[in-house]
Amino acid sequence: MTRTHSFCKRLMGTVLWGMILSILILTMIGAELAQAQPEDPPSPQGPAPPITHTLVGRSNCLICHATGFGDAAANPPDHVDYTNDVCEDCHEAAPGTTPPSPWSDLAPDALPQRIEHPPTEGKNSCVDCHLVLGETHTEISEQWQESVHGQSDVGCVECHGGDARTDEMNLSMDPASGFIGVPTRADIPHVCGSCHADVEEMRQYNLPTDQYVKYIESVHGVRLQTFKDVNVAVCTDCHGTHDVKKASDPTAAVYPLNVPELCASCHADPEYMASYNIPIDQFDIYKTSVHGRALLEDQDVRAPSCASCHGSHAAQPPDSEEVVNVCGKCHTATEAYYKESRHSRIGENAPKCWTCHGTHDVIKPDESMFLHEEPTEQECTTCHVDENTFRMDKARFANPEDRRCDTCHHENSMIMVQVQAILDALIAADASYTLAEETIQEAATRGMIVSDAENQLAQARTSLISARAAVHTTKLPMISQLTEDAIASAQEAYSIAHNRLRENEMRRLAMIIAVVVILINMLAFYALKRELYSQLD
Amino acid sequence: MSDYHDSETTRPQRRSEPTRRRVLKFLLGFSAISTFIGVFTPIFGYLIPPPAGSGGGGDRVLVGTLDDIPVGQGKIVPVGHKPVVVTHTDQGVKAFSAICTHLGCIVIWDDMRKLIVCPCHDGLFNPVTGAVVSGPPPAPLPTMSVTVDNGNIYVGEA
Repeated sequence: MTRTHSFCKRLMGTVLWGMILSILILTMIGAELAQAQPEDPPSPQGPAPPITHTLVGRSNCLICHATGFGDAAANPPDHVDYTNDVCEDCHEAAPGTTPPSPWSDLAPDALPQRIEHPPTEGKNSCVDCHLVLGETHTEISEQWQESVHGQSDVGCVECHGGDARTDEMNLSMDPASGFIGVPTRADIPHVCGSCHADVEEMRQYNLPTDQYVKYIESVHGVRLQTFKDVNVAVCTDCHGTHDVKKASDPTAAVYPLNVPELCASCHADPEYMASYNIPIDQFDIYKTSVHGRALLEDQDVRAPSCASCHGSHAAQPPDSEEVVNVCGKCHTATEAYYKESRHSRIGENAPKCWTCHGTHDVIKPDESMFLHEEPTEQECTTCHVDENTFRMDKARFANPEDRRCDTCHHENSMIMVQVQAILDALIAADASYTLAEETIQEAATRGMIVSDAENQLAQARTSLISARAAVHTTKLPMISQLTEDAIASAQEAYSIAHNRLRENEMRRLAMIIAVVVILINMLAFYALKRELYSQLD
Repeated sequence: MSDYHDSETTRPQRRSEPTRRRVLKFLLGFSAISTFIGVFTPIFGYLIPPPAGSGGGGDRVLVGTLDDIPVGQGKIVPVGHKPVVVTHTDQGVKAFSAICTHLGCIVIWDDMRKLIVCPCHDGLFNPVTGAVVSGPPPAPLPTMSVTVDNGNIYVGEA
C-alpha cells in the first residue's frame, strides 16, 4: 500500500514537472513566433524561385524587380511592402552564380592580373544605365566622369569586369564576362594593382608602378594579406573610389597639404585605433611641430607630411636605424655632419635624430637643447650595461625637456667639458651676431645705408648657421673655427653699423647747428631791416 | 645842470650806437660766412665724396676676366657691398645674387658638383638659371645683369 502510494506520488510529480516544462517551452516558442511573425513575409504559395543571376554587385533587388525592369521578373502584388533585406530569406542564389575572386589563387610575390573582360570597343554601357538610375548610381557615375579615370577613358569594366558593349544587364553584368561587381576590400589592392603595377600600361601616364609591391610590404598590406584585417587602409581609402584625382590636384585627399588630415582620419580616431594599440595623438602633436606649421600654416608643400617619413604605399614607421636616412633625405648637410660624428659610429644604441629632436614633435632647435636647467641625477646603470656597453632607453627621451646632452653625459665627465665648450662658443657667436643685427637694424631705421654691414652680417650668419649644423659632428675644433669666423664677421658688421650710428649722430648735431645758424641769419636780417628803417625815419 | 642833463641824455646814446652797429656787423658777417659755408660745403662734398659708398647703384662693376673664371667654373665676387656669384657655363657667363633665398647665407661655388651651393642647409642652385635644384631655398637666386667686353666681365643690377 505504502509502495503504491509512493509510486503514485512520483508519477504525479513527474507529470507535473513535465507539464510545467511543456508550458515553458510552448510559451518560449509562442513568444518567438509572435516576435518573428510581423517581420517575416507571409508564406508564398509554392517554393520561392531561385535567383538565377549573380548577386555580385547587386544589393538593390527592387531597383529592377519592383517594376520588372528589362528581363527582371516583377514582384507579385503581395510583395509590395517588401524591402531589399528580406529577399534572400526565401530566394536562394543558384549554384555557380557567385564567382570566386579572380585573385584568390594569386601567389604572394606575384603581380595581380587584369580582370578578363570582352573588349569594350569604345563603349561603356555601365554609365549609360547607371547615370540615369538616380541616387547613388547617378552620383558615382558622375564622379567617375569627372575623375582621372573617367578623363582617361579608364572604364568601369577595368575594375568591375563585365561587358561594356551591351545594354542588356544580364549580359553586361554576367560573371562569364568577368563581372565581379563591387570588389571586396581585400581585393581592392589587386584591382588597382592590376593596372598600376603594369609597366606597359602605366608608361603612357608616366606613373610609378611600384605602389602595389610597396603596399604589400607595408604595415597595412601585411595586415590585410596575412591577418585578413580588412579595416586597414586600402587604395580607395586614400585615393577615393569613383572620384580618384591626381595627387597634384589640391582638392585630392592625397595632395601633400591634405595628407596629415587624411592619415589622421583613421589614426586619430580612438575607436578605430583601439584594437591596434597605437597612439592617436600624432596629428595633434605634428600640427604644433616645425614641420606641421610649415606644411599646414605656411602651406609649404615641400615640408614633410606623414608620408615623407613613414612612406605612403609602403607605410611603416621607420626604425631607429633608418631614422638618420629618413631625416637626411631633406637635411642633407646635417646628415653629412652627423656621419662625421662619433655618435654615428656607436651603432645600434647611438643617439639618432629623434633622440634630440623627437619625432612628431620636432621644434626649432636652439642652444637650450644642450643642457637641463637643473643638473640631472644619473646612475651608471642608467646608460651603461657594463663598462663597455651602454643602452638607449627610448622612454628617457619621450619628454622634450629630457632631450639634452646631459641626459646621457654625466655632468662631471670629460665629454661634458667639450659639450660646455661647444655651448659657450655658440652662445658667444650668437650674442655677437644678435648685437650686430640689432645695431644694423637701428642704423637702418635711422635712414643710414648699411648694405656693407649687412654683407658682413650675412657672412656671420653663414658661419653661425654652419656652426650650429656642425654641432652634429660633436667636434669642438670645427665648431670653434666656425663660431670664431661668425664672431669676427659679426664684430666687423657691428663696427660698420656703429660708425653709421655715430655718423648719424654727427649729422643730427650738424642739423642743430645749421638751424641755429639760420636763426642767427634771420635775426641779423631783422636787425638790419630795423636799422635801415630807423635811418629812413 | 643842463650840461648834466645833456651828458645824462647823450651818454647812453654814445654807449648804445656802437654796440648795435657792432652786433649788426657781427650778425651780417656771420651770415655771410655761414652762407659761404652753406653753399660751398655741398660742392666740396661732391668733389671729394666720403669713402663709404652707397652700396651699388646701377653701374656695372668689373669683376674679373674670362681667364679668371674659365668655362665650368664659378666665383663669388663683391659688387658694391653685395656678394655676387658669377658662373661661366656652356651657355655663357651668368651672375646671380650670392645671398641664399632660404635664410640669407652666402652661397659658394662647388667645383666638384659644378653647382652653386648654400653651405648652411645644402641648398643647391642651377649655375645657368639660378633655379633651385634641391634643398630648402624657396626661390631661385636673383639674376644680375652681366656683360663681357674684350674678355672683361662686368656685373650690374638686373
